[in-house]
Amino acid sequence: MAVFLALAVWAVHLLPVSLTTGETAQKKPLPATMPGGVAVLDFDGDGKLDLFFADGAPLPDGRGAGNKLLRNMGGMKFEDATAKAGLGGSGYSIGAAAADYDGDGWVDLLVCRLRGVTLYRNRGNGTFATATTAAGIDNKGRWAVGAAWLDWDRDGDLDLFVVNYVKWDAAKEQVCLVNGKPDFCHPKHYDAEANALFRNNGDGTFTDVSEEMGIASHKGKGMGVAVLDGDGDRWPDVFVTNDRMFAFYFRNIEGKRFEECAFARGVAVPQDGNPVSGMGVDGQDYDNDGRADLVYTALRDETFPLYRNEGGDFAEATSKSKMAVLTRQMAGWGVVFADLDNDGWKDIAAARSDALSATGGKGAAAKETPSWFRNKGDGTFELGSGWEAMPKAMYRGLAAADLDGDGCLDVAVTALGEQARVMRNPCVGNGHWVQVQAGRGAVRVRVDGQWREASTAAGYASSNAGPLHFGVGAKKEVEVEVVWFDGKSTVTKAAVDRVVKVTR
Amino acid sequence: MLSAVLGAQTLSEQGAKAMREGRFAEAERIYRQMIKQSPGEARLRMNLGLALYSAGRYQEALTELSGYLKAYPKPGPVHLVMGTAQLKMGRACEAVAPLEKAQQWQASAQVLVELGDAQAGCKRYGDAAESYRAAAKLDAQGGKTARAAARALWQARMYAEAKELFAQTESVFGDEAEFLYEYGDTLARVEGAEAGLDRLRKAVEKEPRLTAAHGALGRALLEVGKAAEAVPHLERAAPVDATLLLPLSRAYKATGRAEDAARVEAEYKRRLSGGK
Repeated sequence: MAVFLALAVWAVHLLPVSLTTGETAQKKPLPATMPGGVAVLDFDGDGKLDLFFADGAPLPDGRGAGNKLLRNMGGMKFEDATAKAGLGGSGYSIGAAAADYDGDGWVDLLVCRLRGVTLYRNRGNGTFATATTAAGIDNKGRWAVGAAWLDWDRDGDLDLFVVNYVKWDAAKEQVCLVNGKPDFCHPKHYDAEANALFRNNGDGTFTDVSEEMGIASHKGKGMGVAVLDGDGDRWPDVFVTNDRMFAFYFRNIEGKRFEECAFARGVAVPQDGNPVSGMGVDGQDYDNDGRADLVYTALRDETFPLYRNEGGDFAEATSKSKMAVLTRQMAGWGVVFADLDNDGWKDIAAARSDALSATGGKGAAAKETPSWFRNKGDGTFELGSGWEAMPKAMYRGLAAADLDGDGCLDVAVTALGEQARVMRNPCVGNGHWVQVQAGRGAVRVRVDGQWREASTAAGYASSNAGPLHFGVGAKKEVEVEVVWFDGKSTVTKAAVDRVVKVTR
Repeated sequence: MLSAVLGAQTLSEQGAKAMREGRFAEAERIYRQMIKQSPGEARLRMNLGLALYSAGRYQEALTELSGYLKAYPKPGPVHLVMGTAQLKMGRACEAVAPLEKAQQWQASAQVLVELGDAQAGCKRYGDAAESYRAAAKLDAQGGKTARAAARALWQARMYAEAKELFAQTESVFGDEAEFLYEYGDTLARVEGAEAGLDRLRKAVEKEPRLTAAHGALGRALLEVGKAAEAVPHLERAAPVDATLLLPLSRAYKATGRAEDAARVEAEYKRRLSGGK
């Protein structure tokens, strides 16, 4: 039996982008702890994955900072392409969601902001056009943290789910003390907000269907979103983590409405009964049983809950999988299932740090290092190696993508007030791999016995529109299946160590 | 300290003698008389403050000691007395600042323990643990301060560090129900439920009224699949900790009590909806 161990140290590449928060030593407005997401996309179609960063801004006016688009030049070199692309934006941004919503073959971008969302349409010439108003997307000024593109009505185009956090008014911001120092206030001080659902009309416009589809009636404090066909009925469901509230599981009733059933599914709250600060989330099949599972990050002593899909209902596997013991002392934000050692089992990568300020009541103890948890293939995880030397910081967004084209997943992370960075996978002793670039309308992808949901939503406020990565261990050839929105599949054989393009 | 302040005058000697002999009302009378004669002499207010503190009149003592500190703000023993006075009045958060000043004057075991008590009372458990740990290093006996540090670390949810101190102090405190509960709960969290069971069981055997220990034991038993055994413990603790209603519901479900499970889950949702 082949054993693949990633023992080598991951090199850190600092990127020319730093997150603005709007925080000062004395003033800790809540938005300042929330940036910032990272989106992976090949915006110029050159085959190399680029990076977009949603940035905060000085507060309270939210002017003066800008988002960043970094074009991948190869060899872990990135150039600032923001101005040319027209993606600098305005206002205070939190997250981003990338996908080709208009089906023209170019990846578009939705930016989630403190005061709404902005849709950017990729013109296909390296530039983007602001399309929010023309598309009819109005988040009504609400604080959007993240979003997911999904074809919930299975008509072949991508609709939009926007995760909103809380009602926040700069003029009413309180001063909260932690250990006698000003710090971010607990979410209990803010009113909950409803999420939003938009239907893609297929002509470049959208219709807000939040009310009629049963989304608007559920108010939460949304942080992360995952799209998964949890019950195998081919209608994509939506899972939303809430900050110190029960999570939402919106079951898609054949595209006619959504039913919130988190308790019935066993995912509303960890089994010990303590509501947690649900942060980033990912929904993928970690145990290779063909069913999408869930993991999300939370704060210290809350663990990073892991739920195993048992055929529609979920069983919490945090303790059995060892994730409870591994993550008990951690606080996390971005999180993804990603096979970092290409052994055929999806690992878990997490951006870590406290929600409190590093200059507040906890001081520097709020900073942590990122971690990855190696999937041992027997239902349990162990702490992955190679990230020990990463500096402690206030890590937030995270995405795993093969940025240098060597067949191993690298990890991009953001950190408050510091330069974003890429942790380059040493790719030593790893197994073989296949990356599947599925065309428009793909819902799920299988490579031999492994499945991935094709959603681009990734962890916290982040997104990954790159090809779907599968480690395949010692295999030389694999079977690739792409399941399309209408339930049809395309099956093909493929040699390993390559990107496989599959269109409908 | 007093000798540095009191002069050779008769009244001063009388005041000091009254203090030494525990006649605090007499000392107060003397110092008030002296203040009348020399109202600008701040050190007399310190003496009066100490007399009032010794008589258990903490609020009045604070007023006089604050007057002294306006003239002599440098960190010193008066800060220790002020912090202790605040603690005795149950105002832990207000005690932190003067005790931090006292620590600057003298980081003795006594000062650090008082500071740790103030920080723990103010729910600054991480800081409290640091103070207790520092005190434990200075305290020749060490046991009580190390125990206090372990508890503060546990309260601060710094379980890995708490575990070490619990292990170090178990030979001294291992018969106490609260110790067993805190140590067992810590082990359950950092090593898994199975690791905490023995101590949690012993905790509730020794002190059946320790409700929180029943809750922790119930959770741990449920996690290792012993739902039937978990039920009575969860039933006992759930009335004071609504979060236990969910594991209780699961325990009922696992033991075939579907109706009870549904009823308790509904109660859990009702009690905790809207966040915690």
